[in-house]
Amino acid sequence: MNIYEEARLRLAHLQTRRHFLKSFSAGMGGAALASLMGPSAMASPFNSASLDPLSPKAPHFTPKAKHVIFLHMAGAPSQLELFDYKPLLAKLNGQQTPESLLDGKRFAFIRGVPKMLGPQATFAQHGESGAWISNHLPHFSSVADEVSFLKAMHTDEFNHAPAQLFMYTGSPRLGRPSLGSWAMYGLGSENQNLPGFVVLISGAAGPSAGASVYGSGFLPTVYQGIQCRSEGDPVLFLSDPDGVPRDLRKASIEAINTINKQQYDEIQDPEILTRISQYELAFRMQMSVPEAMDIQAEPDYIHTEYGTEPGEVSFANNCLLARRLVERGVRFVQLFHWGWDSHGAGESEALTHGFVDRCKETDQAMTALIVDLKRRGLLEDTLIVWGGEFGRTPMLENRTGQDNPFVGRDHHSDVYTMWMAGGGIKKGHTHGESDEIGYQAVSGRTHVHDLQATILNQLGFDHKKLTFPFQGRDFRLTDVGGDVIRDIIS
Amino acid sequence: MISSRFARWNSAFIAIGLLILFFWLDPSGRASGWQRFFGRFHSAYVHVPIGFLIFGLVLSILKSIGWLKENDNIINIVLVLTSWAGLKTVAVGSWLGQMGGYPPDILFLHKIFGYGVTLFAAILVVVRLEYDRPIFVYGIWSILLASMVIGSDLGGRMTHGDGYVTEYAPEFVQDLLNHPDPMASRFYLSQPDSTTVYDGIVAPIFADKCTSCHGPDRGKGRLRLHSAEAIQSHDGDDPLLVSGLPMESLLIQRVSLPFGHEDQMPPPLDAKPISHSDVELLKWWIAEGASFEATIAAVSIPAPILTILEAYGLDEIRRGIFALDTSAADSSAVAELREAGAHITPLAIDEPYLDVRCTTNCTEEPSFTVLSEQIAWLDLSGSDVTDEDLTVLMGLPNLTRLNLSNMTITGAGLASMAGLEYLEYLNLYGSDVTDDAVDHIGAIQSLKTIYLWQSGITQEGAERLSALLPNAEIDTGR
Repeated sequence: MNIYEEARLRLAHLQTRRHFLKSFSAGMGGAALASLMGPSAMASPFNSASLDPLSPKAPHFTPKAKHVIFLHMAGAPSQLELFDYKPLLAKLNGQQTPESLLDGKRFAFIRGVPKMLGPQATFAQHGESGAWISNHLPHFSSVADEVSFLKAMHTDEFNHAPAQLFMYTGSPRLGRPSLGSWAMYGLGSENQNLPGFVVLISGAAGPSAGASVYGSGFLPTVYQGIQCRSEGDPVLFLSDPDGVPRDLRKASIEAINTINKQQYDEIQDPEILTRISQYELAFRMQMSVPEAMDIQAEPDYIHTEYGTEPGEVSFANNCLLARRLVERGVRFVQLFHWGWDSHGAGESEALTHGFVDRCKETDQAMTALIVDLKRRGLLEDTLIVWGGEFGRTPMLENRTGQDNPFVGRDHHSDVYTMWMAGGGIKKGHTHGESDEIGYQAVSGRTHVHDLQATILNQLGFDHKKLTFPFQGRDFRLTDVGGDVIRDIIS
Repeated sequence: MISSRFARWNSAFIAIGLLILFFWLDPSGRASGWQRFFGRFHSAYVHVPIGFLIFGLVLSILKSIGWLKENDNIINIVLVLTSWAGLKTVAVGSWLGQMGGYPPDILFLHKIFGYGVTLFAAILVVVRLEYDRPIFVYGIWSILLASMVIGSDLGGRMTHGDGYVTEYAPEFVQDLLNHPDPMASRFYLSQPDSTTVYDGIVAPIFADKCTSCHGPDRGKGRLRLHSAEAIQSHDGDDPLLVSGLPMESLLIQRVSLPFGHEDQMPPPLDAKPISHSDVELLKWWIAEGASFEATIAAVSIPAPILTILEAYGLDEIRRGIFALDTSAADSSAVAELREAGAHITPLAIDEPYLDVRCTTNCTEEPSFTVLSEQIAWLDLSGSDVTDEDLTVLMGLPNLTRLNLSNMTITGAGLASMAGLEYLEYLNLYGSDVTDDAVDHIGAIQSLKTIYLWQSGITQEGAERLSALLPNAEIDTGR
């Protein structure tokens, strides 16, 4: 070969694998650098008007509701004993369920062939709208004309935890943000001294799905629900340790946040803004939350109307707190009341005992909440939603094939009842209908995603456009479904 | 060899044939049985003259570039055949047109171009033989081609609808042809305040689906639907339109019959079927009173109808303050007002209006006055704003919600609300407003909800107020 070719061959010998890998890693480093510098170049998912993720933002269109109070009856209350009147079921009481109804159906606990169970309540029509309400809710019957019932709700899950996750996050698996977090993400907070999303829990236990039903999922954690407790410290880990005065706390927070802000300027991680925001919010909350949570300050007639028990944990206390929080500008108040899981396996689960107690605990308070908000002119702006995570079967539960000692029903995801009031919802209206025994929906079926889409619609959002990018695609609360239920919007 | 004498006789024959068709056979009314049978072959027959014409064109081009070296008599033969095939096509086409269901104006133009192709093909033979000047020959070829293209396009539009050719054309072609979106141009929905439901929605449906047989040219069954007078002057055994009851109206009954029913309208074999959404729109029009004067914005539009109209391009009907042309809020004024302690949120992303909440007296701020056109929701509850400060309300023309709860005002300041023509919500709970303010509140006819719990207004005052404002909901908390 000639000298030129030889020179080229020698040059090629110098380009070893080692050289290739070395220059390759420099290229990879360049790509990594680009991804680190990327966030500052890309548009922030926050409203660019302010770096504070909690600053108020405008919705897609003019909202009807500025606040939401969600009354979740954890355990799934029996619609057949509350709102869905089925006289035929009374006639079929005690009869064996026909095969055609059981074919291909999977129940949570029922095994074999169950018997039908007639309504364990008496029903009457109330108000000008003629809504059917049972005798277990005497107080609520007086406000029947304020609410819209959704009698053909259905969901995809028949167990508590996945169904609760489905109701609040749009997916039965963990990891997605809850309804309140999405509302906060879209709207920000109205009151800068209180959390925008508050959770109040009553009953013997918390919701089966745990704190994930009010968590922020993949949204910045500043949007998570903050549980405010009725007894003891209103918010856990909020108050200063003994010996730390408030001004020292303020100085230390300022110092921490100065460093955080420098960190943010360098690497632009949105979680840093969350952290700054949470420190400052927590500091303000130390003063504002005890004041807001202090129901003793309310006059006596209010306590009588709600049936509150100051100092105890009760649903009535939480309803009163919900009203106080909404007055102070809290966007989303989530209430959980546990104990509606009326399987009939024990007295607390019986439709004739525990269920009646739950009704007594909630009836007066939720009525008082509606009436109180209405006379203060707040019901127009506040969307109240009531319901469980699914419904209950028209059949008597027979766990493992034997009749339960007490009267109860099993989980039923195909048709159940929820109601909504205020916030631009029609008054005295019913949407959807179940069949004569309350087993399937006949018309007006609405899915959990439809409910979520409607709630977001009343808050001024197109549920398909309220999205957050995560794992390479845009996620939204309603996953891939959901239609706004136009029939109940006034 | 086509002689020029033959060509002339051919032209005369074609011309007379076309005249007979045009003036005598065509307007003779309905086609009879065998004519209908052949009429349906029009779309097949039409390929024959087109095929011959294109063939003739190709041969002409080949001749003009010198490839066709033989005698060009073949071109004359082809053109004569074109004219004969054209005459046959036009004849069966007339019968097809008589069967009804085609829009009359497009049908007429289509016929003219069809006649044109037939006639000019015959004339071209004469010209080629006797007046063989390029300008004449090329001129007539252009006329032939143009007539063929335009005539076929019109025929295609009648069969397949207006957007058939352009629907999948590339963007620039669509823009070039400026072809309107067939959905958007079907109804007249761009000005819902001033367009009546009849003019904008009902008349286009009738024109598209009904008037070819029940219109100005022809009134089958003594029914004409082309104008309001014609519709209203219908008299028959059954009422055509029953105000408020669509299913009792003959119009809806006839278009809702099962397929194949002898009285089904439009008749399935003769005309384009009427679509489900058109029937829903007609039912809605009748349910709302079958009015010829009500505008689209004035009637209530239920959700399913709204979905249909939105598909046809109806924009959201904006009412109240949203129909106004208010400019966007001055951002420096918003920032200043925020500095002063006010809590401001825009109502929505694209709206200029603001929701302002003040816990202190922000009405004295100069930025408040700057934003006076944009303030739509004002919440002063719990603040120390006094009756005198409330004079600022006079300057807020677009206010729709006013919250004055838990304040020490007595109501004298509410006289300043007089000019608020869009106010819908007034919250006075827990305030010291007395019965003297009832007249001021009662003057605002736009109010829909008023809250008076724990205020100084007595039961009598509230009753007087509800007499002044019969459409408002007054909540005294009792």
